[in-house]
Formats: sequence, structure tokens, C-alpha cells
Amino acid sequence: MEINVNKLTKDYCNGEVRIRALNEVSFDVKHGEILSIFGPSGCGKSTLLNCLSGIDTPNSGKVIIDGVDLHSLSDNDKTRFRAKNLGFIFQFYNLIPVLNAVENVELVLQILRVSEKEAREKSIEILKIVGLGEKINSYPSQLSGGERQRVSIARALVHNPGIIFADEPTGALDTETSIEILNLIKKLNSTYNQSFIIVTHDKKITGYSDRIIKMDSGKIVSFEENGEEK
Amino acid sequence: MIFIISVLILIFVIFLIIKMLLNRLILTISVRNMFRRITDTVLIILGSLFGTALITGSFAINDSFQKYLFSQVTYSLGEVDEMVQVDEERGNVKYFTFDEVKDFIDQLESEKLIDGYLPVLNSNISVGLPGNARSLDGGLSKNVEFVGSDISLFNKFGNEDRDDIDTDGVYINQSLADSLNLSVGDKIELLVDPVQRTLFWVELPQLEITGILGNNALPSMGEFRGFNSSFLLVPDDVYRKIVGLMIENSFSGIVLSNTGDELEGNDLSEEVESTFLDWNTGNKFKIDMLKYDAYASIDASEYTGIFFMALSSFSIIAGILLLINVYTMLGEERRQELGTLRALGFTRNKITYEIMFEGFFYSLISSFIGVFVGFGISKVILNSVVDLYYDISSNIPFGNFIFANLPDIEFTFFIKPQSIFYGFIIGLSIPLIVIFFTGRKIAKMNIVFALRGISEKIGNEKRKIIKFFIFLMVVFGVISLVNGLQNNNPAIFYLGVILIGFLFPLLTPEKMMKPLITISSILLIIFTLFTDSITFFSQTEISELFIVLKGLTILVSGGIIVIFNLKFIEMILQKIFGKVKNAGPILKVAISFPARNTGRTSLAIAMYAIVFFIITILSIIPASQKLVIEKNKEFFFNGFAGGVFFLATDEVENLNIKLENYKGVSEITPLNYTNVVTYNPKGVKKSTVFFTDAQFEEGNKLNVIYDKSLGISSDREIWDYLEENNNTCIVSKNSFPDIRLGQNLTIYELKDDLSFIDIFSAGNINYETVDQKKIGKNLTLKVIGYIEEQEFSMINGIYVSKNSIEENFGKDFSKVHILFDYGDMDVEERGNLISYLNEDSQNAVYLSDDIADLTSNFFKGTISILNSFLYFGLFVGIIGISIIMFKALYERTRLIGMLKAIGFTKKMVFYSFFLETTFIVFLGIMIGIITGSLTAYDFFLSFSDQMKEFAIPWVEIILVGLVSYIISVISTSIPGYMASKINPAKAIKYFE
Repeated sequence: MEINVNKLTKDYCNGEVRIRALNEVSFDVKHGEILSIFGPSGCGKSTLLNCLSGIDTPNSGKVIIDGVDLHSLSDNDKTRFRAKNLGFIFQFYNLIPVLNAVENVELVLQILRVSEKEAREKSIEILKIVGLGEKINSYPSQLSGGERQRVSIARALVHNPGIIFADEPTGALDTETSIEILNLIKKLNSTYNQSFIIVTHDKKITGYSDRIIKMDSGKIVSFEENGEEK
Repeated sequence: MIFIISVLILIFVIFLIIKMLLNRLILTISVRNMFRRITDTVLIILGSLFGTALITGSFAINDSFQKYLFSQVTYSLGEVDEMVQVDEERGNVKYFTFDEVKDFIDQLESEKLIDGYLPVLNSNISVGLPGNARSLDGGLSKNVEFVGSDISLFNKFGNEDRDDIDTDGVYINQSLADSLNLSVGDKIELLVDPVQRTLFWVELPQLEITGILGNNALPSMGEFRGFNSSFLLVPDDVYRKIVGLMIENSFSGIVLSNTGDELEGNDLSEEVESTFLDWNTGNKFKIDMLKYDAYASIDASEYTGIFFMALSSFSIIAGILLLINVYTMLGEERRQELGTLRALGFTRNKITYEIMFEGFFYSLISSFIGVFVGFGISKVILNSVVDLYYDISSNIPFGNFIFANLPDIEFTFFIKPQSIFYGFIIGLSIPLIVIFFTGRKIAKMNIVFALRGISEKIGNEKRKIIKFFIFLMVVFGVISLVNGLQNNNPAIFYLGVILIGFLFPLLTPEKMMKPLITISSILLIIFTLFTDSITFFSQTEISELFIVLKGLTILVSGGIIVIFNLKFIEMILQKIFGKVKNAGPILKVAISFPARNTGRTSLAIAMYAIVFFIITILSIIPASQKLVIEKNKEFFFNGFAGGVFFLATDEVENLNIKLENYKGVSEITPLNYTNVVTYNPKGVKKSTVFFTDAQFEEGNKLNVIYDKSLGISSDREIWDYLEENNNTCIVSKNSFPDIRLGQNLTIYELKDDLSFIDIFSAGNINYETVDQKKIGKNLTLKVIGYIEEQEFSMINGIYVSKNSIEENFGKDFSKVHILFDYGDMDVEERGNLISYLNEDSQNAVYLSDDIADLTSNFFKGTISILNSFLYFGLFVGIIGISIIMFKALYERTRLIGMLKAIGFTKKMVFYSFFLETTFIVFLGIMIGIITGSLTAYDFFLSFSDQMKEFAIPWVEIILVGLVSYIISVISTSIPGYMASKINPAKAIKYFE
């Protein structure tokens, strides 16, 4: 899936003060690439990710995903589009505590009305791929941070979305686990050829990306591809 | 109405169940969430079930009262459903022959609408042993329902199995046999025409008793038969012979028994009536649907249930606040999780379902258990009611007429199956409605904010819409104010004032809002308390709506003053306790959470305040009533301390002597009286005429407003004037509120005796029609004075000199009350006096002290029962605070870990929880007590001077408050203890 971002602007109100979080941001995401959005805290990278994925609404500008103008859709259509085409990996995993690993993963398939049997089979399969084949019945509270993030990655991939959004996917993990997770993302990207958009302030992560967008104060300050600034 | 709501709720429940089956994933999450924190689940269910319990309890109380009343109807009417009589108002003769109605009866039988009919002749007569029927002494003669009927038909009447009785026999019931000491074979004398009472030379007919039947063997032929009523049943030809009715085979009515038993038959009444109307084309007859009308009137007067429902509504409102609080907290707690689901593709509807499914299970369980708890509550209340009434009844001198003493009819717990269903459905629906709206609100979350755990503020657009709505309400308030002023409607005017007062400050900038709404609330309380001093309010008739609005205004204002100034309260507490060792940080933690979490704190405070508000009002009422009764007891008998009532003249002398010989009794004054009627534009009014004499004039302490033009200088002299001037009278304002001095009042002699109850309430009953045959001579009297409205006097009516009556009515009136004083006798001495006066026969002896005690106790007992019903509502508040503190424990685990890390000891953590509970509960209780007291005070201000006594039972209220506070603190000590035990190292890393 490809994304075309055109003059995306987003303002926030803090009391009477209006803050511009995104200022006419434009870029493209190619099919199957890993794109990192890098920048210091408060530069607008998470806001950009939220606007790209349709969980936040920009004040102006467009996000076109495979020809679909995301923000022209109704709330319900946007939700359905998200469920079908996008995957999410969160910094703090955001697993449902009352569901075990396999149930958390098959949640997305059930939203898409995939049959119970098929959903279970696919979920177990993806959990095996992320290295949790032995812990499919464990609840989030019984898993370590890295394991939780693997469940989260499995959940993001199980319905084979075109794009996966990852917001600081290693932010809550130690260095060793972070590297494991990043290797996994890289492996999955090359296996399934899905686009990954990763938001991070960690320089290490950008090394795993095909392209890097550097942001500051709501604006893109540079693009990097294969280590070269463009 | 309830049926329609129930159907709608059922449809909604079915819809939910279908949605559950279609969304099994959401169902799984919802069900598992229930078991996530068992303590929370148990508390939520406990909090919710009290709503159902109180509703079911109200239904059960209502049904039990109704069943008791239905039993009375069934007892009185037995198999009788309708009675067909000649319509005398259309100028027809009372009697008819059976042939005239035969077609109608045949039709009813062919349509199987009736399983029995009974042509009857009936009237009321006096009966006594030979020589006694004319006596007015209740011990010698008795009023009975005299019925003549074909006894062979009587044996077949209805479908009840009954031993056949002799078709030629004369039968009386057990009550008559007991009261006149009659046995089978005795002869009785009958006074059929009251005129013959004085025609002593006329020989009265006599009959020999063949048998004695059970008290309800013969159903009533019209009016309800009381438990002591008597009847005399004879063959119809004997009846005709005795009353001198010459037309053979004639009857005065036909009693019908519909097919089915005593209860089932009632279902056919409408069909019987319809058949009758088709048949009665000549309009000669009329049909009285006796049982149908009686049941309908009971159905229409569901006062008991409505009253308890109104009381429980306060607890239910507290319960609703609890549910809003619980589900809002639930939403907050799961915000991040729900935000994730939204991000992953859950629509807003599905998020609502998740909340609703979980809530549905809580409601289902709580409604189910609540129904049974409701049974328990109503049983406790009903037992208290029965105990109280029996206790009071056994202590009153005039028998057990008040309550529950009919033979074979017990006042017991009863609930209709449909009431259980309604209680369950309403109990289910209240949480579901709350959950639905809370769920919708949660579903509207901003996904980004939810994922990040940032609290959401109302957006500018939404803020503008809310402000516009508030502005419209303020405009509506101004319109109400002007409209109320123009139409002299205080309630509408006041509604305008409170709408402006509460809402206008909300339109001002945020910085000004808090001080303005505080000042406005204070002003509204002051305004409310002084409305009685404002001419506009004091000169206009006050409606119930106005009283309710005033009460609510005081309650809401009190709540606003506290809730909008929590930080100020925190500051004061810091000033007072800040210097005590460790108090500063503990107070800071304990108060800053509720002070900053205003929504949650306000709802928790409101839960306590609402219930305490009504408990305070209900506690003040009996305390104040006691003072009113004490203050006015000297007016019970117009200045005398006691009285022996409803005596025949031949008993007077004996009792007079007894009283004169009794140490401590003085001012013994016989007061003769008779019953009369007067006419006024509303109809005929029954009243009592009292014949004054020198003794009464001297002993009474009545305050008379007299005609100054008569040349009298004191209200004592007016009695002399009355004595000396025939055709003058002094009247009680209570009986004749519109009377004017100098006005003429015509009284008409009432020939028939009045019943005990009638006499007791004489002067207060309006009759639409009156049998002209009961009206005798008339006498026109000039009103020379009136006795100021005295709500407590038991002797209200028209005071006329004895000479005047005897001269004009030309008759010796034989009914007498004896009034007397008894000094400072204590309870035991008063008991001895009553026993002494009742030695020979049961006299109706009343002593003002006893009546005062009895009334106060009755009032207090009744209010205590109502309050005990409300105490169950207090559990809602206690459970509410427990839920809040348990939630606080989970929410603040990491924070508690941090506090411990920086130096908070276990004790300090525990005390911070303890103080937080104290802060919320104390404020809630205080708002309830203060606003309840102010509302009660305002309510009492609107009373007449006579009723205007105000007392707050501080000890009682403080005790309830203290007990409630202690239970609340104990219930929250568990989360407090758990918080104090938290391991800081683990807590800092706490993640569910």
C-alpha cells in the first residue's frame, strides 16, 4: 500500500493557546518500505502517525492511502478501513488484559468477521512466527515486556494489513529486547512486504529503516534514504 | 404505563441479547471484565440491587395493603357482584315484582354470566330484646341490616358450599347474638320505623330466633359491612308482613352473583352491566356494580405504594448517582483499553456494547437478588406497621377500629407476580439506561487522548453549544419569572428565579463562575427561606410544586456551595490541622484527590446528601408535631382535660356521681348534643349542635370572636348572651370556615342516628344527596360569634342554648358528652380513672394527655417506619464510597508506592484513605442535614400559627449520621489497609 501525504496541518488548543503540531507536512510512503519518523519529544511525530492512521483528524491537508482519501470517510468507514488495512504497534503494547495472547491476536480477525476456526489458526500461526508458540494461552500479566510487544506485533500483522504503524515500539523495552523486536520487524517486512511506519526518538531504530523523515516543530526538516540526506 | 415501560425494556433486553450473540468477542471481553476485580463486581452489584430492592419493596407494601383492602371487600360482599334496584331518582316506586326482571335474569343465566341471584328486601332497623328495641342504649338495642329473601334461593346463591338453612327460619348473625346476648329460641323485638321510637303505645313486632349464622354468612346488600355489623334474615313474606308491604312477590333489589368464585366473578361485571343496559330500555332500574366499583376504587388509590415509591425515589436517585459514578470510573479505568479497541477497528457502537454487555450482567444479577432483598425489606416494614398499629390500637379507649382486626382477615406480606416482574424490570432498566448513556459518552472518546491516558476537556464547539443551551434556559427562566408574576403563580415565578440563579453564573467567564455560583446559591437559600415574608408569596395559594421546588433548591444550593469550594475547604482544614504532626502531607493527599476529582466527589457527596436530606425532614416532622400536640392538647375538648362521649341520658347521672366522687376530677360538665344538617352551595353538610348551659360556659376555654355591636365586653359574656337569647348561635370556624358574624344559619333536624365514625368526623363530610325522609324540622339561628379555627378540637359544631333547641324542635335530646378536668394525674392514675369509669359498661373515655401521647407515638412510629425504609437507601451511599475507595486503591497503586518511597509510613497511607472517606461522607451528611433542616423549617413557616412549632431532634439525627459515618469508614478501611500494605518497590512498577 502506498500513502500520499499532502500539506497535513494539525493544531491543538491548550486552554486559550493554540499550538501547531503539524505544519503543512507532505511526503509519500512507498509500498513495502520501512519508514522511520524521527525527532525530539513534542516535534509532532506521534501526531503525524495518528493523522496518517486515521485515529486523529487533521485541520487541513490530505492522507491518500491507495487512492482513498482517508479523512473524507465517515467515522464508521474510517474505522472499517483501519480494521481492514492498517495494523498498530504501541509503545506500551495496549493488550486487552482479560484476553490471553491468542485471543488478543484474533481480536482483529473477529472484527473483520473471519470465522472463529480460521481466526484461531491464523493467530496461532502468527504467534509462532513471532516466537510465542508456547505462550498462546498466557495472559498479558503473565508475559514479559518483550513478549507483550511480540503479541502486539502479531496482532498488528495477523490480518495482513498493507501498512503497520508503530509508535515507539521499543520505548518500553531494554536494549537487548529492543534489538530482538527490531530484527523481527525487519524480518516480517521482508517476508510479507508490508509498509512499516515507525515513530521513534531512538537513533538506533532508524538504522533498521529504508527511509527516515526528520521532524522538528511540526515540520519535516529532512529526508534520509540509505544514510543519505535528500 | 408500567406495562408499556416493561415491554419496551423487554424489547431492549432481547435486542441486547441478540447483539451479544452476534458480537461474541465483545461478550467475551465483557464477561471476563466482570471477574477482573471481584471486589468491584460485588460492590457494583450490591449498589445496584438496592434500587430494585426498594422498588420491589414498594410494590410489595402496596400489594399487601391492597390485598388487605380486597379481603375487606370480599369479606363484606362475599359472592355478591351486582345489585339491581329500581331507580327511585327517576320517580319510580322502590318495590318491584320478580316477573319484571325475570327476562333479564334468564338472559344472564343463558349466557352463563351468573351462577346465582337473590331477590331481596332490605332496610336498616333497630333490634332488641322485647321492650328494648326503642332504647337508644347501645347495650340494649342494636342497628341491624334487616333482609327478607326466599331462603331456598339463598341456599343456592353463589357457588360456595354452605349448609342449607330452614326456608321458614329467622336468623341472626353471631355479632348480634353476642352484643345482645341472644340465643336460639329467644324472642327479639323490631323497631322498623324510627317514628315509632316515641310512639310507645304502638306494639312492636317480635320474632323468635331459629338459628345463628356466621358474621359474614349473609353478604352485604350495599354498603360495606363493618366487622361489628349485624344482620337479621327472614323469609321474604315475613319481611313484607313486618314492614306492612302489601304487594305480593315484591322486592327492593336483586343481588347477582357472577359465574366463578368471589374473585373470578368480578371479571364478568362489565358483561353483566352491558346486558343490563341492553335490557333496561325503559330506565326503570339501575345496576350497582358493588364489587367492581369497590375493587376499582382500591386500584385507584394506590397511595401506600406510591408513597413508599416516592420515598424510595430518593434512594433510587442516590443509586442512579452511584451507577453514573461507577460506570464513569469504569470508563476512565478502561479508557486506554477502549481507545486501543477503537484504533484496531471497533466502532463507537461496539464500544458502547462492551460497556452495556458488562453492565447488563451486573444489572441482571443485581435485579434478581434485589427482588428478594426487596421482599425482606417490605416484610420488615410491614411487620413494623402491623406492630405499631396493633400497639396503638390496644392503647386507645375506643376499640381496634383503626386497623387489621376483621375476623379471618390478616394483614400479611403479599406481592403479585406482576409486581415482582415490574420490580425486576424497572430495577433492570434503571442501570441499563444509565449504562447506555454512560457507554455512549465513553464511546465518543478521542482515540489519541485515550491511548495516551490524557484527560479530555470539552472542546470549544461543544462548550459553545452547552453555553447556548444554558442561555436558552436562562431566557426560559426570565419568561417563567414574568409569567409567574403576571399570573400570580408563585411556583412558576420561583422556577424562573432558580433557573436564572443557578444558570446565569455558568454563562460568565470561568474565573468568575465559581464565586458567582457560590454567591448565587447562598442568595437562593436566603430568598427561599424568606419567601413567606414576601407579600406575593404569602397572599397566593401555594402549590405542591412550589414546596418541592423550594426543597430541591435548598438541597442543590447547599451541594453547590460545598462542591464548588472544595479547595477552600481544603485550605481551611490545612490551616486548622496543618501543624499537627504529619497532618499536613496526609491532609494534602487525602483532600486533594477528591478536591480535584470534582465530578466523582460531587456524585459521592450527593449520594449521602440526598438520603440524609429526606431523613432529616422526616425526623423533624414528628419532633415538631409532638410540640404542636403538646401546645394544643388543651383544645382537644375545648378547654376541658377529658371527656366521656356518646352517652345516653340515663347513664349521665350515674357517671356524674362517679366523677364527682373521684379524687382529682373537677369541672364536670355534661354537654348535650344532636346531629343536624345545613345546606351550602356544595351540598348538604352534616354537623353537630351542642346545647350549652352554665357549667359549660364556665368551664370552656374557647376563644370566641364575637359581634361587637351586641354591647359585650368579653368573650365570657358572649356565652351569657347566648343563654339569654334564643335563635342565636356560636359556631366553630373549623366546621364553617366561611361563616360571618351576623349571618343567619338554618339547621335541619337529622332524624336517624349517626354512626360512631360519622359523629367523630361530623362537620367535615359533604353529602351530594341526602334522603329527605331523614330531615326533620328546621331552625334559623343568628351567628353572634365564632370560635377561631382550632384544628385540634374534637368538639366542633354549632353552640346553641339548650332552651332555644328545646323550644323550637320540641324534643328531649338524649345524647350527651361529659367533659371534665383531672388535674395533674400521671399515666398510672389516668389509667385507673379510665378503668373506674368503665367498670359498669365500656364508655368512650378520652383524656387529652393520653390522646397527645398516643398521637405523638403514632406519628413518631409511622415516621420511624418510613425512615427505616430510607435507611436501606443509605447502603447505596456506603457501598458507593467503598467502590470509590477500592477504585482509588487500584488507580493510585503506583502513586502510593511513590509516596512510600518518599517517606509516607503505613499509618500515613491508611490515614490518608481514612480522611478521604471522612471528607466525602462528612460533607455529604452535613449537606443533607443542613439543607434538610432548612427545607423543613421553610415548610413549617408556611403553616398556620397553631401548627407552627419547629424542633430538630439533634440527638436522633446525629446518631443516624454517626452510625452511617462509622459504617462508611469501616467499609473503606479495607482498601485503606490494603493501600498501607502496598510494597513500594512493586507498586512503582505496577502494571495490570
